[in-house]
Amino acid sequence: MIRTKPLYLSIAALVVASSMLSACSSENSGDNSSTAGSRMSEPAPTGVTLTMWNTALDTPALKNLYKAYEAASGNTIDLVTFPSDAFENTVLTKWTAGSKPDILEWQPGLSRLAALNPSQKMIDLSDLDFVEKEGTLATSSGAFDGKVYGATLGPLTEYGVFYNKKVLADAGLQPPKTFADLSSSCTELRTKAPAVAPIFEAGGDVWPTQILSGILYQADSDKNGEYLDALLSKKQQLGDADGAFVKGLEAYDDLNTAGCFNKNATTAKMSDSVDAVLKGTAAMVAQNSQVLIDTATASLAGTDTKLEDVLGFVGVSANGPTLAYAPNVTGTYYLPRSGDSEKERAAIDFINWATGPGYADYIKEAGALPTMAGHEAPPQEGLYKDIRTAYEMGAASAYLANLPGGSSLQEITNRLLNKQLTPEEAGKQMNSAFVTALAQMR
Amino acid sequence: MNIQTDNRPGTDVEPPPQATPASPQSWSSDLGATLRRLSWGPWGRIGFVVPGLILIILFFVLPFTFGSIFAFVDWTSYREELRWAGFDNFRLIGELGVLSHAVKVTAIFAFAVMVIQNFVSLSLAVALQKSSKINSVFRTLFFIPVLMSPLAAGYIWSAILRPEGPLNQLISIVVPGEFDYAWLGHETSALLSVAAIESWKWSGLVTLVYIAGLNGVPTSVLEAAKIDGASAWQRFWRVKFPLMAPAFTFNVVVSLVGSLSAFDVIMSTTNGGPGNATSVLNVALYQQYSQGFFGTSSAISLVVTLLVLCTAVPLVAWLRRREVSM
Repeated sequence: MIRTKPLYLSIAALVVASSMLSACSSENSGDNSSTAGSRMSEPAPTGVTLTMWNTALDTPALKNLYKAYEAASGNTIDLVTFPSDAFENTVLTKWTAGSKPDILEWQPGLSRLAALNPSQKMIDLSDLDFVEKEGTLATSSGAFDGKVYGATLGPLTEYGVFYNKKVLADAGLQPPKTFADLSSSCTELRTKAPAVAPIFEAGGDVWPTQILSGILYQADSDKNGEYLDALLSKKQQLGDADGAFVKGLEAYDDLNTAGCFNKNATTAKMSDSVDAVLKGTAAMVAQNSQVLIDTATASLAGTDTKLEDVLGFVGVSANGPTLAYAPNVTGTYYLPRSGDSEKERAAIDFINWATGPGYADYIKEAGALPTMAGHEAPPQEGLYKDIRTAYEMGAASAYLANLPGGSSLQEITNRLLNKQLTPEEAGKQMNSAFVTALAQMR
Repeated sequence: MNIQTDNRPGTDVEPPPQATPASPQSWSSDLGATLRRLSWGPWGRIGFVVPGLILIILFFVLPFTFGSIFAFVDWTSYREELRWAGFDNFRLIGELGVLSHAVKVTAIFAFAVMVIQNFVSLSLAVALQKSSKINSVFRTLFFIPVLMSPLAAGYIWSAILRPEGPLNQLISIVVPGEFDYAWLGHETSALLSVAAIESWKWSGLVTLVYIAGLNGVPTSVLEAAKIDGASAWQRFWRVKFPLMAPAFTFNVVVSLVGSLSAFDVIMSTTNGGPGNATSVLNVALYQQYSQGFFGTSSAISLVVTLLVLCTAVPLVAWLRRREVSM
């Protein structure tokens, strides 16, 4: 008899848990077959309030786009803005708990998109007009299982090497184009400017460590998406000793071993890297354009110094000057299935407007390269000019954004930086993360 | 003997003067007597238990029960369906090397916190035992970190411990040459540093418990030991320390068990790094969760709970036996 109470409690707990499991499983199991295009016969509603979850990183141009849509449509966008550093986890938590907005600003790319189970929880946008205009970007940045769920307005983020012009000029060095150049520049700088860190690495923030080792090196192997295809079709593995991934990790490890990084590479933060390259205590830093330019601009605010006078930008990969680019969380939108047909239709109207009538003004104000065909690129100014030049020399979509399990890379490269893993071990661990994530998607 | 100036426990004191009917002592004395006279009966007593019980059920029993069940469920954000997975989640985190590493780091971290915190706090308690104005100021100062947000404490310490930070600048005054050691940049020093920060954060509380324990030692026993010729050191180890065993039990268990669940101080100082050198179980749990792997995340959560139970229960039992034997 003594044992009956715990048994009843256990049974009760199991019953409640089972109910929760089934509730979770059945949630939003609406009509998955309807696409956004099939809803276009319904008139676009007005006077609807649409909730949008967005990141605090949204630019003034994007905020003006929302206002312009409100004026044009008669609908209202109620912004729920999350801090950028906790954005993904906050959204994931609310999403899993069953809460959903009408419009979601979210990371582009298969890796992050798959984590939101788009085939069951998002509206299929494949037959909207913007898909054709966005071209291959639509099928790479916001697509899952052959269907397009996201619209990417831009701006795109470019990954490459930012360098201090004066430091390189004083040392008589040209900006690097390959990893061999990085290595030789490092050797030269260590001799000619011993007080300067040749390359600044910010392991204290974890995520920057993946840029040099896992994004830039592999860029010229994936100019047409061939490397990602080979990985997805299992013709190549991330752990292959002679594959681009492990080779990139080896090149990174060699730079680390050769003392090319700052002394506090394992603890320094991203903001330290921007300060160092601006002040010239570091010669180069591998970073993405949005983060670096925003941080550097804030750092130079109130001074007469122009960013483009201090810093230059160049694409660097294994064998040539190829930059990697990826769409951003800012300006990439998905439409969750809310079950409210009026709001869903109004949300589709927002996507059509933002990628159609509202797009030209947005691109002009943002000064960004258009992601939709049929629009002229606005004139680029300042450091963006260097980035445009580098883009024209060679660019590849960052394979990592579409790599299942790609979010594990930063932890693995951070351990590589700290010499806790060899490049081969790091490659194998990354392959395990990839295989695990791939299995979850199927 | 004056009761105001000598509050040593166990000392024979004169009975307090009879309070006048209008004084506050009289009110409290009357209220106490009234409460004692009241017969609450079983339902009345249960009434006092219910609020606490509800909180425990809501915030411990239910989350623990569901969390434990989800540890055996294949639950990710990638799929709508939840499937029974048996021990697959544990196998997966084992294969990825997450579990063994995190358990090892957690055990080292918790042991280091327990040792540092109790050593420092016991020393402080001995130094600050006597009630005086200066000691009150220091007790307050050492208690301030307890009131601080763990995240704020972590961010402050990560700034202090930077290679060019104030700690190294201070050391550079003493040590010749520029001292720029990255305390959070090397595996061992990072783990010990975060353990020290966690210890510092809670040492004020532990110190107060030790002070209460020290003040509970009867003065007559200490005086007898002194008359018998025991030195100050002998009086501490042979008399005070055994008699404050309940305080020691409480502090050892709380510091060890509390640090098994550490998270916020570590995230704000090292993010689990360098590499994964300070990735304790809760950091590993967070990393699994942030990738949308809720099943494996729940599995790690269950491991944390089991680790706490398997550590706390035998430890408390052993320390209680030790108290009796002393």
